Amino acid sequence: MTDRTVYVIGIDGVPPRLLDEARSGGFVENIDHLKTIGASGTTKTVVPPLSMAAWSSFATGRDPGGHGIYNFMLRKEGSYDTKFADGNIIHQNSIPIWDYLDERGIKSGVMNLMPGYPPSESDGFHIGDLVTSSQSSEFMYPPELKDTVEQNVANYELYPYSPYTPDKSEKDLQNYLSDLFKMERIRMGTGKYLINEKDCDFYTYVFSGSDSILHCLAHIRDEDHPHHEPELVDKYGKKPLELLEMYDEFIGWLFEQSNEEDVIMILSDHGHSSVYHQINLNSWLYNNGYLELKPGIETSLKVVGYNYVYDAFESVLHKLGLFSKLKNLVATSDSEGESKKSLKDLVTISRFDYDWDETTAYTIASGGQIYLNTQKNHPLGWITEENYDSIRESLREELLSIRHPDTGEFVIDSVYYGEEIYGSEHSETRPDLAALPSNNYQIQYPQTMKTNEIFSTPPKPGNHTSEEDRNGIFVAAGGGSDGADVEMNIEDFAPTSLALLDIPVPSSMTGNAREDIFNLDAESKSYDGRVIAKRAVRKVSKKLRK
Amino acid sequence: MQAKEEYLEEYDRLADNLSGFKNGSELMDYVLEKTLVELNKETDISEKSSLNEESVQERLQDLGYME
Repeated sequence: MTDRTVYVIGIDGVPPRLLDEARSGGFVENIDHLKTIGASGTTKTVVPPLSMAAWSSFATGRDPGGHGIYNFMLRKEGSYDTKFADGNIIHQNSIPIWDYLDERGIKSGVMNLMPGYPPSESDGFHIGDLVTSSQSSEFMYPPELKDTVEQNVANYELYPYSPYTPDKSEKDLQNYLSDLFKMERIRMGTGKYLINEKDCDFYTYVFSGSDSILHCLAHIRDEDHPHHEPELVDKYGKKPLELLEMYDEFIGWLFEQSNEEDVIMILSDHGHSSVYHQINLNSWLYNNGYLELKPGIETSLKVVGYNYVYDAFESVLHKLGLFSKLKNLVATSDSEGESKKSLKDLVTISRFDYDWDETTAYTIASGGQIYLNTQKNHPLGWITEENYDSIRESLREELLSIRHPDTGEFVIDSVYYGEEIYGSEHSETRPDLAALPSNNYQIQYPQTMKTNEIFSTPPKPGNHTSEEDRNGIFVAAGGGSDGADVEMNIEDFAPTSLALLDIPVPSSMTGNAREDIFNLDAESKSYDGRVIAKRAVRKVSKKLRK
Repeated sequence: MQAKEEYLEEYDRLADNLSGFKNGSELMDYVLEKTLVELNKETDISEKSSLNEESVQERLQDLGYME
């Protein structure tokens, strides 16, 4: 056992070039110092580069095929139905690092890591993330932590801001930035307070304001962006750098209070880029004969409605201030089982409108992952093992040949086979193909599918979609860390952290304890059963305590 | 002690399926030790509820993943 504490700080969505810009502008002197005394380089993330799958791989030391969280939206096994990723799924399918530590009697502190709801009940503390947690839910463990944080730091608000988009006013932009910076100041205050009070050996905090600000301000910083707002550049162009400066102050505090045994790692879960164009994947699949709709009157009416009436209807609802409310009501309506239609299914073009006997391929979420309608994994699938390869190859080639009608550019940069990038433990819900777009393009899955609109405008000026966006930042100090331009994989952080704490690396983790970057003597061992036994004990004991 | 022997066969079987335990006796000791720790905890018992899908949907829209 070691006296060491390992701190892993996630700064969501920061691309290496932004950190370079912050370094040369003098915004991140503390991170710069850590680079000088330790190791630095990049973090290679999952395909597609989306936070939910990336942080799940970070926590479990496994690729998405090992934990089954391929995206924000997941396909239910043996079904066309979908569900949102959450903390229960990661625990059902896999074991995050804090559960291994808990089994060894080591406390962890986790804040704002996806999917963080419900929060883990492992020893230490766990604060849920801003996507899967809601303010009214019990998103902190232990439950009394919420009051403690409020009394000693501030009211911890999960999502206190309204994101800026180019159609909003400058006042909206100012409010957004003010609320975002305030949220991150409270996160940092909470993080410091808990480090001082909780005596954990492993802390991992994620600051997600960086991702939001890059989604919202990309067009202000990019003069080639179709929605560039040049009049805002001087006042707001450096805001992402100022946010990094704020995080840098936290890193400096962390370094000051750590001892020479301790290790600090900083990473981002993906990069970020401007996006100019969007391809609506299901519409493309429909127009190219891969996705078929039922010929009935109900579906036909919806097709006409979305193609020719929806925009006017949306515009009126926006004017009345009712659009978001109505849309959320529709989108979250329950279907009460596999075969019953929800309000969402009735008013959107949904899986109930697909002619599954004729459909070859479909998608369920943004990011470019495609499922083939196979006999093996689908209730009405028709693709057999014999024709699977030829159909998939043909689709892959067609995807790679798509050109944007205005620019003439190739839209898709690369298409991976599912088994090439994901392990096979959750192969029954594994996408068959994963397409990554070219730079400045985004692959989207609009729920309001318009069959005549394959290309459209992205909802946010910035996003993380392409091969280039698979590169995040990496900086480390302590633990003998050394090396410049090293490449960590996002699955390497959990096994490396365990090895730094002298804990055996579970043989089920596919990431590596990075002995080439840190001074480590990692031991691999199979002990998942001990974690499972401890979970069972906790569950039964909880019932007995009630 | 008698109770331990009575259940040992069952624990042996479980230990075969749970990596990290040499035998049923080790598993049984582990369960007893951890149960004692858990029962003596003073933290409040959390009452988890299911995912608030409306909230998740809204945030994913704000981030630009859903439309």
